[in-house]
Amino acid sequence: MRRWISVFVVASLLTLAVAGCAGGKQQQPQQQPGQQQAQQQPEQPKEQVVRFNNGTEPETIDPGLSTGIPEANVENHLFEGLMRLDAESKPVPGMAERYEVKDNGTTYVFYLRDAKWSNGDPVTAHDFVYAWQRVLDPYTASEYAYQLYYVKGAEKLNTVPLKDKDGKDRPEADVKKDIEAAKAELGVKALDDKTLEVKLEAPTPYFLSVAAFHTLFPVNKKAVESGPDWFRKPETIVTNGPYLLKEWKPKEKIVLVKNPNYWAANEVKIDRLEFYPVEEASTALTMYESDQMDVLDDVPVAEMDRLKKEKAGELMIRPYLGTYYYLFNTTKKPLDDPRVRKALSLAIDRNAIVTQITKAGQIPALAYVPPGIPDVQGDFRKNGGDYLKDNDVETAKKLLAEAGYPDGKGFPKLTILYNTSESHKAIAEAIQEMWKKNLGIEVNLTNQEWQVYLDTRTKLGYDIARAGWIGDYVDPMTFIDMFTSTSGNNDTGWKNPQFDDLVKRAKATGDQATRMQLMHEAEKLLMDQAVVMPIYFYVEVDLQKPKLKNVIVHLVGGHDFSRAYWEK
Amino acid sequence: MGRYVVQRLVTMVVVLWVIVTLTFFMMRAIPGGPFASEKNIPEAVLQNIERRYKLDQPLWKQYTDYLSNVIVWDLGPSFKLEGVTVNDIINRGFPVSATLGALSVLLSLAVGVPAGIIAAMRHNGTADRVTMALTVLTISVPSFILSTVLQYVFAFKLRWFPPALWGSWKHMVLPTLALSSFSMAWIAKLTRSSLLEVIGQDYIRTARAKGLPEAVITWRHMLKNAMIPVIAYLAPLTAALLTGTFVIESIFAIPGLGREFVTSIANRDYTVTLGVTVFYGALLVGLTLVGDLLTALVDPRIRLEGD
Repeated sequence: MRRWISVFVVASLLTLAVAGCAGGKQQQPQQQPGQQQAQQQPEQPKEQVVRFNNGTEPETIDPGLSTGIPEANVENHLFEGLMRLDAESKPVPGMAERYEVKDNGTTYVFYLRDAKWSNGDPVTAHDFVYAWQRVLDPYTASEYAYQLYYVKGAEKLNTVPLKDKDGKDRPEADVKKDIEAAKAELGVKALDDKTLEVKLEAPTPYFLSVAAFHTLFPVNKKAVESGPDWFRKPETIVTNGPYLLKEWKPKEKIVLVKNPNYWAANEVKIDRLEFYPVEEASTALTMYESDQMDVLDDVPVAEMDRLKKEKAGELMIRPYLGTYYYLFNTTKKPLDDPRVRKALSLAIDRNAIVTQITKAGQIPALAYVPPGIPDVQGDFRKNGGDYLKDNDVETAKKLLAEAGYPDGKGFPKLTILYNTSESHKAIAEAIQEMWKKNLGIEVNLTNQEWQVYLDTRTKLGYDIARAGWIGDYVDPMTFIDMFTSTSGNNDTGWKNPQFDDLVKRAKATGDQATRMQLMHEAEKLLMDQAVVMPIYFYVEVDLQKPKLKNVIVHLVGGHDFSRAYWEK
Repeated sequence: MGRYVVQRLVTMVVVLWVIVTLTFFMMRAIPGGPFASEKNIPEAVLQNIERRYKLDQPLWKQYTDYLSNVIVWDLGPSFKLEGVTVNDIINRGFPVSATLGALSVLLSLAVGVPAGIIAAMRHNGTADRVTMALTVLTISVPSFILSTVLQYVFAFKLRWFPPALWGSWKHMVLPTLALSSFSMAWIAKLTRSSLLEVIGQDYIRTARAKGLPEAVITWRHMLKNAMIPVIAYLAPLTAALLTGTFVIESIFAIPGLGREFVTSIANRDYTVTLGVTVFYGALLVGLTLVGDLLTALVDPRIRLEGD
C-alpha cells in the first residue's frame, strides 16, 4: 500500500511539475478581457479601448514582407505610407503632405510632411527609397514585391538572377553588383530629405491607392538591421503610424497604444487597441456577446438570422471589393464551348443563394467586376451594367440545345471542386440542384483541403471550381488583368489575344476615359465568353458595439480604428 | 532493469528517426506548399523565397540537413511566422498545452477514482446507477460540443469564467473541464470494474474470514490491486491529454502547441509540423517508458524484459 501511495504521489508531482513549467505564464496583468469587463461598464469603457478579433495570428508585421489582411490590420495602425485610405477608401495624404503628377501620369513627386519615427528620427524620403529597395531586393524574397512593379525598373531589380543557368548559386559579389546597378536605375529617388520622386513604367492612375498599400510603407533602416525579428518586440520595432507596439504575446494578443508623436495625434481618440487571434467564429461571437470584444470581422452564418433580429444595430454590412465565382476549365469538353459555359451560368438562381445560404446581404453578381470602383464618372459597375439575367432558364436551355445537349441529354457528368468549407458546400449543393432541375444535367461535388485545392486548380485538374477574388487596389484592372494569357492567376486555360490586347492597351494609356472604356470592353468579352460564372459580390460583415463610431473598413479589406471613438 | 531502460532508449531513438523520416517525406508528398496562395506569386519571386528557405536544394540534401540539425535540437525557422524558430514555438506553446493536460489528468483522477470507488462499493445501488449513467453520458458527448455548452452556460449566461483566451486561473477552468470529461468518466468506469473484479477474489474472502476490519480490507487489499489498471492507463492518458488538446485549444483560443500543430499542417509550414511531431513523438515514447516502469514498480508480478 505504501509503495502504491508513493507511486501515486510521484505521478501527481510529475504532472504538477509539468504544470509548473507554465507557472509564469499564468500570472498575467489585469488587462485580460474577462477581468476588464468586470471593471468597466459594457459599451462605455473609461479608457478608450477597442478590442478587435483579428481572426488569426499575424505571420509578421514587417509591412514589406506581409501579405494578409490580419497582418495589414495591425500594420495600418503602426505604419503609414505616403498616402492612406479614407472612409471612402480614397487615397488621402499620409506621410506625404502633397504630391504632383507629371509626365503624362508617369512621374509622381511626393512632398513629405514633418513626421517622426518612434525613435525620434525624422521620416525622410530616403526611408521610402530604402524600404522599396529592400522589398525589391531578391535576397529579401518579399512575396508581395510585385506590388511595386509599377515603378520603373522594379521588376528588373526584383528578378536579378540569384542562380545561373545550371541552377547553381551565382557568386554573391556578382549578384550584389547587379543588384546595385538595378537599384541605381530604379525609378525612386530622394530629391532631398523631404521630396520623393517616383517614376512609373506606364501611367497608373490608381498608383496613389497602391502608395497606401502596406508593401510600400516606409521602414526604419536601423530597426530592420537590428535583427530578423525586429518587428516582434516593442524595444526594437520603430514605427511612424498613429500607434506604437506595446505588447505582442503570440497567439494571445497584440496591444497597441497611441503614438503621441504621430503627425495627426489629435485626431486619434482610441488610447489602446487590442487585437485577438480567435479563430473560431462562434467563440468570438460568445466573447462579443459577453462584452469581451468590441468588433468582430467574421460572423457565423448559422447565427445570421438571430443576429439580424437581436443585434440589428450592431450588424454592420459594408461593401467589400470582391467577387465569389466559379471557374470553368475551358480546355475540357464540353466546357470548351462558350455556349455551354453561358448556359450553366444563366441557369442558376443567384438571388436564392444570397438570401437563403449566405444571408449577409451579399449582392447577386451578374457581371464580374464588383461595385464600388469609380469610373471616369460614376461607378464602373453601374456604367457597365449587367451582362447576365439571373435565373434565365429559357435562354440557358436554348444555348445548351444549340451546343448539342437538348434537355441535358448526352451531357457528361462534370464535377464541381471547392475547398473544404460548409458554406462552399451549401452553395455547390444548391447549384447542383439548380442545374439538375433547370437543365437536366447532373454534376458531382468534390471538396479538397485548401492547399490541395489550389494545386488542383493551378494544374487545371478540375472541371468547374469555386473561386473568389478580392481586389488589391480600387481599380477594375485588379480584376481584369488576371485573365490574360500570361497571367499566373488565370486558372481557366482560356487564352484570347483580343482580350490580351485590350488589357495591354488599357495599361499603356494615360487617358482615363480610354482606359476605362478598354476595361469595359475587356469585361464584356470575358462575360460573353463566360470564362467565369459570377455568383455574388462580397460584403464585409462586422459586429460592432453601437457606441463605437467612425471605424473605417477599407473596400479592399482591413480595419482602421485610428479615427474611431466611443460615443459618450 | 538498467539494461531494459538502455534497450528502450535505443528503441526510442530508432522510433524517432522513423517518425522524422516518414513525416518529412509525407509532408513533401502532399500537394501544395508553404507559399501557395490564391493570388499566384510570380515565378522569379517564388524562386527567391524558395532559395531563402533552402527549398531549392535537392530533397535528400534537405533531409540530411534536417536530420543533422535535429540531433542538436535545432528545429529550424518557421516558413510562415517571420522571424520565429520552431524551438521558439515549442518553448512557448508546450507549457500552455502541458498545463492544460496536467490539470486535466489531475482532475480526471481526483473525480474519476472516487466516483469509481463509490460506484463499486454501492454496486447495483442508486449511487452506482447514477455514476454509471453520468459516465456513459460524459463519454458519449464529444468534447467540442461540451466546450460550446460550457461556454454558453458559464461564460455567456452566468459570466463566471471567460469564454476563451489564456492568462489567469479563470481561463483554465472551462477548457480543463472540457478536456478531462472523457478521461474522468473513463477512469471512473475503469476503477469501478477493476474494483468489482478484485472484490470477488479469494484473497478478499480470506481477509474477511480472518476478521480484518472492512476499512483495512478496502484500502490495503482491494484498492492496491484495483488501481493497477488505472496506473497503467495514466501514461497513455497523460500523453493523449498533452498531445490531443488541439480541438479544445482552437475552441478556447488557447495559445498551446496543439493549435500551432494544426495550423502548421494547413499552412504546409514543414519545419513546424516536423518539429512538433518530433517533439510529441519523443514525449509519447518517453511517457510510455515511464508508464511501463511505473506499472512494474506497482505490480511485482510484471517483470521487465532484460531484468
